[in-house]
Amino acid sequence: MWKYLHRLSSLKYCYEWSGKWVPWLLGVTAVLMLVGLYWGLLVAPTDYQQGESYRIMYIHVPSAWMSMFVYAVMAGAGFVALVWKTKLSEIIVSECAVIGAMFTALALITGMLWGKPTWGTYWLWDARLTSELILLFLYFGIIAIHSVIEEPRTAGRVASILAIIGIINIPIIHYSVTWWSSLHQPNMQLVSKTPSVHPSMLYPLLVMAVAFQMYFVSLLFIRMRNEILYRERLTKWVKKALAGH
Amino acid sequence: MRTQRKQRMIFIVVLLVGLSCATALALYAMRQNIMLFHTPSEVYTGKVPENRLFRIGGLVVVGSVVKADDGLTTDFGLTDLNQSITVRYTGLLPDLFREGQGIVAQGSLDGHGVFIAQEVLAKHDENYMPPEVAASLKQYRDTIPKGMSGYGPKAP
Amino acid sequence: MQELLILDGKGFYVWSAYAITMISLVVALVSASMRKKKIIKEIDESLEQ
Repeated sequence: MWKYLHRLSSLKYCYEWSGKWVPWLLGVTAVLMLVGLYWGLLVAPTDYQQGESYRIMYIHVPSAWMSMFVYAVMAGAGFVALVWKTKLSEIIVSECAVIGAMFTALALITGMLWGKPTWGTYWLWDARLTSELILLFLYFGIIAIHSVIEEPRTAGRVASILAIIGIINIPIIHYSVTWWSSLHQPNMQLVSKTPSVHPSMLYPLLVMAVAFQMYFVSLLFIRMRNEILYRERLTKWVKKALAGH
Repeated sequence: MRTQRKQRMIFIVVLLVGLSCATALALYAMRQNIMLFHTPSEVYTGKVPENRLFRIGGLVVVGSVVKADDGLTTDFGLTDLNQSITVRYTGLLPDLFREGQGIVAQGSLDGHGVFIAQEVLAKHDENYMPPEVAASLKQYRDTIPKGMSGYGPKAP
Repeated sequence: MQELLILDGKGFYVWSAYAITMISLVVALVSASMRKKKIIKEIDESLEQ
């Protein structure tokens, strides 16, 4: 197990290994995304209270979940980067920051477009909305480190520290609707005897959630491979790998 | 090398535990400011700011919505199931505003215990279901004795 | 079709949310794939020198 992980952390091996997965991941993502979109937009029934605007849920909820999940992955990679000082985990931190920022921005934008027809306002300084906005700024901060600090290893270390510190915000986002009064509705109860989402609406949501996960892994692999190529551009193996092109 | 790694690991864990404690204390101290709204009960116990706008949240009392003659001003009762207060609002109400619905209003108290709202926002809950399911759930709920209705998502 | 676009008057919000999300996801994926070509070109150029 440890040996396997160690091998995977070598940039050359990781480049070759992830390259095999990318086409499959993209295929699965595309299929799930199309099924999820069709199911959520055309098949799933109208909500008893919100009518049609609830359909924004099928992109808002997966984006919001991913905004937090990607952060957890990034902080985990940051931890590995600081303790074991592997280059690969530093690359994962910087690539996750970009992808996570996108998911966070999407969660905020789709949330605003959902808020207007249901709540009656695009934005409000409620605990959930504010903590999600802070998450976006955390991602921006980590991205900015790489443009401020030229030396990639130093930048990687600083970014990892910020990523780890910012993990505190994740439970705050999750529990914000429980701890404080807010306009945002409470978290969905999915793992319970009586889920708060009717199955006919829940299944398309789960399909979209898996589609977003697969999308994340695909994009992470593609971006990670780019970064590996760029960082290792002076090495023999890259020149050899590219000779075929 | 091994011990160095262990040291770094311990350092990160200690850092995180310390930061979490500090954040928890800070959030606890600021909890009144993070709360989005006050409840009607807090209005009665005088825990709301005077001479300043604040938000109040609760459920619209069933049967309390009264439209004024001008067609724009609405009076309704707002309750937290403990105390209730009259809210007056002039303007268009959000689509989801209805009796029994959770809402959040921003405004201030006039001298007579009426909350003059400048903005009314509708809250919705985490339950999603098709209208037929909601209707049959409501029917089912109406046929069973009270006190047993805690099962399942709330009907509208 | 008309009904689907209007979505009970909520069409603007629903469709713009979906459009923004899907366009962002596709653009992010495509631009990441394009970057690989750029990097390879850069490496090739540096090899020739």
